[in-house]
Amino acid sequence: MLLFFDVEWGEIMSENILEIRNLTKEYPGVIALNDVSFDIRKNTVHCLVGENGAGKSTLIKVITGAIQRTKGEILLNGKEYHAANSNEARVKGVSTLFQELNVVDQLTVEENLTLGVEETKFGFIKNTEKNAQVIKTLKSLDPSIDPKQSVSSLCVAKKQIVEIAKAVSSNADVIIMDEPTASLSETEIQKLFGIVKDLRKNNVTVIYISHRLDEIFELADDVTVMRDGRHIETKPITEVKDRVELIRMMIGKTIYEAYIPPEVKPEENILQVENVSNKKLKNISFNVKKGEIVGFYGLIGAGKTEIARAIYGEDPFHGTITFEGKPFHPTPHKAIKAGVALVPEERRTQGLFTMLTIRSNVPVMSMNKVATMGFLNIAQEKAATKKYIDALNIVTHSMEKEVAKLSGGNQQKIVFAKSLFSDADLLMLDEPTRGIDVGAKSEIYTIIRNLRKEGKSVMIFSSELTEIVNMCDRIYLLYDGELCTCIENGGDIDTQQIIHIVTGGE
Amino acid sequence: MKKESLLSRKFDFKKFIQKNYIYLFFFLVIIVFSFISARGTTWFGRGHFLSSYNLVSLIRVCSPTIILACGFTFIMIAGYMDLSVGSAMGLCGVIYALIVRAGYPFIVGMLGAVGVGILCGLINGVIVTRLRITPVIATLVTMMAYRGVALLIVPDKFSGIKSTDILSLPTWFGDYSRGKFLLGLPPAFYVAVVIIVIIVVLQRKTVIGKYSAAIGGNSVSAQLAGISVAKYVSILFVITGILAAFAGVTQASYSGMGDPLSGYGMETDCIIAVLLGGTAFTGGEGSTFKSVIGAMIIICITTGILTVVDAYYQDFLKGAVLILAVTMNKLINSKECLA
Amino acid sequence: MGKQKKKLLVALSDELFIILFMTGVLLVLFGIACIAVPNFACKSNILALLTNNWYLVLLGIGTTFIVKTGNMDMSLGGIVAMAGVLVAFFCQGTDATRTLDIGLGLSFFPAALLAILCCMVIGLINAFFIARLKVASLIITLGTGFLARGIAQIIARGAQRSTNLDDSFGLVGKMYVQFGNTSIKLSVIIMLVILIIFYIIEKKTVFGRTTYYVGANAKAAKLSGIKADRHLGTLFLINSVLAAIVGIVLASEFLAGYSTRGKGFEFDALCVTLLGGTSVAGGFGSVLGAFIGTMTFSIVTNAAGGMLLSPDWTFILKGVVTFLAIVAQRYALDKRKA
Repeated sequence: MLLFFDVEWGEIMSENILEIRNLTKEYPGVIALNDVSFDIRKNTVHCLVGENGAGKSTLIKVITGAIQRTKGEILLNGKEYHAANSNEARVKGVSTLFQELNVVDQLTVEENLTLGVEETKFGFIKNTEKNAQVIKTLKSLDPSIDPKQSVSSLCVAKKQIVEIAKAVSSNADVIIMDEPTASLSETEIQKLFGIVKDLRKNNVTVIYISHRLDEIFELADDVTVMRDGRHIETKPITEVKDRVELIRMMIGKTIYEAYIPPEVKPEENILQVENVSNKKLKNISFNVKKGEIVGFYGLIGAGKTEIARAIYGEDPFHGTITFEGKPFHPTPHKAIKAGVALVPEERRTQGLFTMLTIRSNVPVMSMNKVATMGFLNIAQEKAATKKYIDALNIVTHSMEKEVAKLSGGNQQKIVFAKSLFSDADLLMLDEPTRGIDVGAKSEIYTIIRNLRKEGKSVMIFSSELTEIVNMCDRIYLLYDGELCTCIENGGDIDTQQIIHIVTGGE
Repeated sequence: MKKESLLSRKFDFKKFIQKNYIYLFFFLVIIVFSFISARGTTWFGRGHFLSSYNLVSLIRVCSPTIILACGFTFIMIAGYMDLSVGSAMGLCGVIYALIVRAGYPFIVGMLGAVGVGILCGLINGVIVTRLRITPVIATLVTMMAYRGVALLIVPDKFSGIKSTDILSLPTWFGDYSRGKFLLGLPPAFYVAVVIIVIIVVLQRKTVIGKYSAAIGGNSVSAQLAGISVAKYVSILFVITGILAAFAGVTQASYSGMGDPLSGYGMETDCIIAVLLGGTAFTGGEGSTFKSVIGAMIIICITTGILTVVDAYYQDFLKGAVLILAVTMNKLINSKECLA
Repeated sequence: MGKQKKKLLVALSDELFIILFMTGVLLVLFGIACIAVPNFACKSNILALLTNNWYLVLLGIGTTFIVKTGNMDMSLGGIVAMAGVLVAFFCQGTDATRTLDIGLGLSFFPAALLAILCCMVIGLINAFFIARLKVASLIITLGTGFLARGIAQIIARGAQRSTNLDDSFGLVGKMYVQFGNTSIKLSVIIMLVILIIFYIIEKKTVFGRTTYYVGANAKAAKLSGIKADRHLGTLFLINSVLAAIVGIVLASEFLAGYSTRGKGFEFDALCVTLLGGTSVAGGFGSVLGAFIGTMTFSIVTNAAGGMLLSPDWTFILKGVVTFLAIVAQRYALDKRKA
């Protein structure tokens, strides 16, 4: 009896598999994780929720070793835990299912499942019991996948299943699943839920991240809410009353009073999009008026970037786009000539020439304005650069500085300067304030409002709700490639309703 | 209904062509050349193109290219490139000849050449993985360097080590590539076959083969799966180096001299062979055996054409075949995307 | 003082910094060569250093533009040979008995123009495959290089075309211009003029700037409305023209179109480009660097000759020097960033 008690007591001692203590991650100008502390109980499904940018991904990246913490500690089974990369994390018992697909297309399903963990004899790959086990796991998930089949012939959902099977079969103590259902069908999701529940039975702890709140109510034992890089609350799901309470915890008491309505009510249409569909988009129709800021809000993968890419001629599509009354068959070159400019999502890889100087970056979208007969007019170029450095308040001691040496906020302002210089009538801003500090953010908001004052139109594609609600005159909500609703911003937006819609609620 | 079945059959046909076009192409080349040589003066002087004499000659000439093409395919599947193969081959051939000339037996010469081959591969591997210099540029530099070393260590400069030298090579020197071992074919041929088999086994059955495909297909995933990309890329460079050594010995034995300039332009032949074999230039997949066939095609064309035209048409043909191969490779691989 | 120096260093652009760095390397090498190699520092030798490799500067200019976009052109040597043989063929008289003596009987300048046009076809093939079919530039230019040399060999029957040529054929290649008491070859003047023109193109025109954009970030360039593929194609076309000019002037200088001319020129051009500080990854580099690189290249090969090393050393020297250039460049840039 006493012995029994002892065992019980021992289990209580190590009840928590992961203990996160005062974890902080700072980037220059941004604090992504701010003094986060909470526990994850053993053999539970622990859901992590929060808006985009709440710090969930950063937390996961620290745990898997993709990035290193600034300070704080993590205890795994009561011992200090530290991983230099995802492989080390896996060896220590933390396996991760990443958001991006990480299968090798050219290999077969079986080869992918065993990649990196093969049992070998003199370098020869052995076909062992373990392989059979992995394939069994896969078969229980989806019997239609042939292990001998090449992964390139699978659709995205099935590739995801292969990855899930791989993570599940790795004998980990903790499995982290980052939005695993983003590309799965309803039946596949149900199967995944079955697997997750089985895992819990088999003494595996699952950290589950999802934007789909229904999933959380179905799966979770505990739920942790994060907001603005801080830990808000951790409690058993039984203590959470309903969706509404969860949403309230996620968005907190943020005050949405910063919205400033336009001085003149916009009337005239500048852009008309009708029934645009492609791989990702389903029958998108909307319009943008002159002197209006229109927002597009949805979760990651809902199709925001894809709308911008279609209008800019980067992706093929069916349907019609009319710009300033004329039909529009765009390529980036033609779009810029017509007066549409894009501030892309990734400023370093898509927006800037980081090796080149500020002066060379600013005029790229309309070189003709600083050149005569193909010859550059350096004086004009300098004047233009000077103008934008002053107007956008770009902090630099010289316009001959390479853009790579500037801070994120200043880099983003240069992408803005680039687009403004092209004299576009319609600006598409994809995640205009991602990864920049608060000061630069508000400056960029001022720039956007000034554009509206000048009668230009702005489309903001953002996964930050505060930004959308504070800035936009009209908001389109997206879910899974479809436009759900359009909301007129009168300053009294029901943010809970918005979260409800974009997380798949009716 | 009928239409559908017809469509599916047509689709299958396309796939068949895609998969097997290299064999058809090879067949076509043989047929064309057998007609050409039946008419005019024949290849290598004697008999019909398909005569045993000519086939033996073809195999003798092919061997070094085939061996190199194997290694080239391997490293290409991992998404890397080794332009120094030709120079490494020349260097190893010279080393082999030097050792044999000093009076040591064949096997010592072979081992010495392989040792130098390993060294060449290691140098490439270190430059590419540790100093992180683009493979193309890195191996272009070593290509010049290895060739330079080969030229420097040859005692009588550009002429190479000939059997007519005062310190002449033993009479058996050429036996490896010219002697009759079995079925009238030289030992070098059988060694080449063994090498092909070993490489295919390495690719299909071992972690090296699997990891190289993974690295070429998606190096991020490979890294995430805990594979040391640097280690395996270095191993691949070493394998290529070893194969260059075998090719060098074969060539030296065939031509009867340690020629520091042998293997010049070999990287182009390898690229053509690999392209014809359908290996995607982005890496990830490819077939060694198809590259071997590709190597035989390029040798058939550039050497076989000499029956009808003068030698100075060779470069033009080589260029034309390369461009043709690029176009075909592009077509094959783009079709695959559509299917 | 030290701090000020560092500030000054940081204020320089990376490109200028690397060019200055490479110039420093050049001067150090020159100094060492002056001390170590007998008769190195004499006036005639220095003049030879400056002028002998004029054709490498020309090829380096085009290659700099290409490498800046992260590409390579291996067809240069072939085009040089083809242009030389073609111009000789076009200029040969029509009245002769041996096949190798019969040409088209054109006068030099129309012939040169025609030869350039022919070489532009090779450039067009390069452009088409690289810009339209997205084939790796290394591979397709390797093929067109063989194609061009093959054409040269077919026309010259694997040898050369040097007979039945007018005296006017050698005018361009053999002309000297007198400056005080030194006379300089016309080809060197041509090189300098083209160098200046391309320097202006590089720094002062939209075209030159576009090259930087495409090299620094092709994706961003496309999203900024630049037709990156078309630009790349144009660069390969220009490179073929430069190679053709080199081939023609060399043919004129030697009074013959050799089909083996220019073997390995593509490597040498790459060498001088890298020695001039152009980044292999693309993004920065200057034609001035190509000039400096050529000078370094000349010093190394000339000094090796002066030290009575066998010509076999040149291969290794070229390899080692280029390798060191790449490593030094990377090291210097990393150091600067840290």
